[in-house]
Amino acid sequence: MKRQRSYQERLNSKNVVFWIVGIFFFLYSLTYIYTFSWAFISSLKDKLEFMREPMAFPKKLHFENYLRAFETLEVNQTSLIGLIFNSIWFAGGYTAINIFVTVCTAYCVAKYTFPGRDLIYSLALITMLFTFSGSLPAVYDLLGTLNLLDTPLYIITASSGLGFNFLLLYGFYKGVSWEYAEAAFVDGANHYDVFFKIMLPHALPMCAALGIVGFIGLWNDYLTPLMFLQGYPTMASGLYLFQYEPKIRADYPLYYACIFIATLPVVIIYASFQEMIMTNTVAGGLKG
Amino acid sequence: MQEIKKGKGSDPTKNNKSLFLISMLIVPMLNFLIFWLYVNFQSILNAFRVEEYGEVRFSFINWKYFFEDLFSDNPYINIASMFKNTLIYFASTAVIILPLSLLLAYFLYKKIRFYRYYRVIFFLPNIVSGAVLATLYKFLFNPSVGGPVAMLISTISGNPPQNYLLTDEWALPLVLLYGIWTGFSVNLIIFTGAMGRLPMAVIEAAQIDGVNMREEFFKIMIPMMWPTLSTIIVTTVAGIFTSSGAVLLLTGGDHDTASIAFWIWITTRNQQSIYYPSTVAFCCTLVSVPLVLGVKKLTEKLYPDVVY
Repeated sequence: MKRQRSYQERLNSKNVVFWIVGIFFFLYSLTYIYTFSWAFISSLKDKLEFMREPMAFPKKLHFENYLRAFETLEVNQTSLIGLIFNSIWFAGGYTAINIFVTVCTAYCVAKYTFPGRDLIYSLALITMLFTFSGSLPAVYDLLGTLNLLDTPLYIITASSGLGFNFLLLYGFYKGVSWEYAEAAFVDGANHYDVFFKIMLPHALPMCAALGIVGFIGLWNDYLTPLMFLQGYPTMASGLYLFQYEPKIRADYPLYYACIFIATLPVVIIYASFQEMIMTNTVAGGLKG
Repeated sequence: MQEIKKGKGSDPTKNNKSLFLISMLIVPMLNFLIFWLYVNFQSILNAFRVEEYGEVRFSFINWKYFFEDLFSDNPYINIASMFKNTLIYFASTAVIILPLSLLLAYFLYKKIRFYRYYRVIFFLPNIVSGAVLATLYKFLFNPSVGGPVAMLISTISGNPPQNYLLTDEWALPLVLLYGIWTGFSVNLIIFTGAMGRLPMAVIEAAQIDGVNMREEFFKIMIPMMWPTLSTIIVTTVAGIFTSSGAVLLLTGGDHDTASIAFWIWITTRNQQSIYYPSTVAFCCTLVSVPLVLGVKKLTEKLYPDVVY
């Protein structure tokens, strides 16, 4: 019979494993801390100092690099303020449209019975699982035909109403009691009243959490603006494009400063809303 | 009791309900019809089209080019190498990143020392833009901006510093390393969330029974987490030909790092013809759809009876 390991033996091996993993975690986290510290220090250097001694600690901390970034940075004739502005309406507008349409869709599919209801739910799963690799060229072609390329109107494509947010909101609405609605109908409310005055407000915490996550994701998205909004660079796509501007070669600290200007808003937003996001995106009733 | 005849026109609630549903659902349905159904239908048709002298017509010629490029040494497009790279990137995700994310999530779940601090740091790549991370990563290896890693390698090896990302030898490994460096955090959040929802009663009962960590992980937690885990596996397989970002940022596809997904993206962006990429993409879809279905069937067979 296999000898059962004593409690102490198991505890010891557990400790060893935890030590090894702990060291690995520590080193891994160091790579991030080091990278960002080095970037921050580099952003405070004088541009000439940077070229001559890139590895050295800056003699003087040039916080004005951050101000200079606002004045001189230019990508596709868009200033830094312009990049931030584009990021705000792209990330905010797209997310707002997306979440609103998704709430409407999830509410109807979760709370009403009508022909095609189950089909819509299946479509949500199918569109998530099956991606046609060739859809990108076709989408680009279609948007060109519809004149939705390179215009802020592009964000109306956010109105799909399906996807992962749909599944979460569907689960949420499934768990909401219909009694509120019935009481309202008795009082003479119509379907729109029930939705806009009762059901939509009910979902606001979850919508806010999904909205923040979506906003951060789109703020950081560089592929979409690079492809579909070439005339409206955002902070993320601007950071990529700026590498190819000739100005940068003489002024790398400016670029590092720009990196932090791009990153700081989302880190602050995320840090402030972390708890709220965690509690509100737990999939309603989904186990494991 | 008087029976009220309910004709379609006489029941206000019924009329209102249909009107309400139509008004709520028409936008997403239109969006689906146009941007999913029509688009994907077109993408299939595009595989059989070609543009000549400003006219678009039906043709198999892109298929001919595709098979030629696959087996020849075309200096402009190395399709075979792009497929190879796609497989390598996918293998690194499936074999290295996913399992390691699971392990990392497990140790965070077990509240290893300083786990709160690690949770914040490991989540960073999720909140920071890929554009930022990839640029910093590039700079780390670039001696002309004083990249510390490039300098370190140069000091250790004694060779003059060079930009390792721009070499044929090191470009692909470094792109892979970047994927691993940043790839944990997305899955980490999902896995720790799933682990957090597991019933403590079951886990504690197992610990009282004397189960060790390996058994706890493989025999208890993974089966209970299987819905989440299998979904992640299936969606990873589904994305095999569609994820491309890091390549664009790090090397622009040079030095043999391009994947199929990257090539389709860059060809579309540069507004070169859409028909040849569509043909290649269609072949990829012919492979990926059965693959996804197969993986889905396989994952459904494992642990189907876990109930709690």
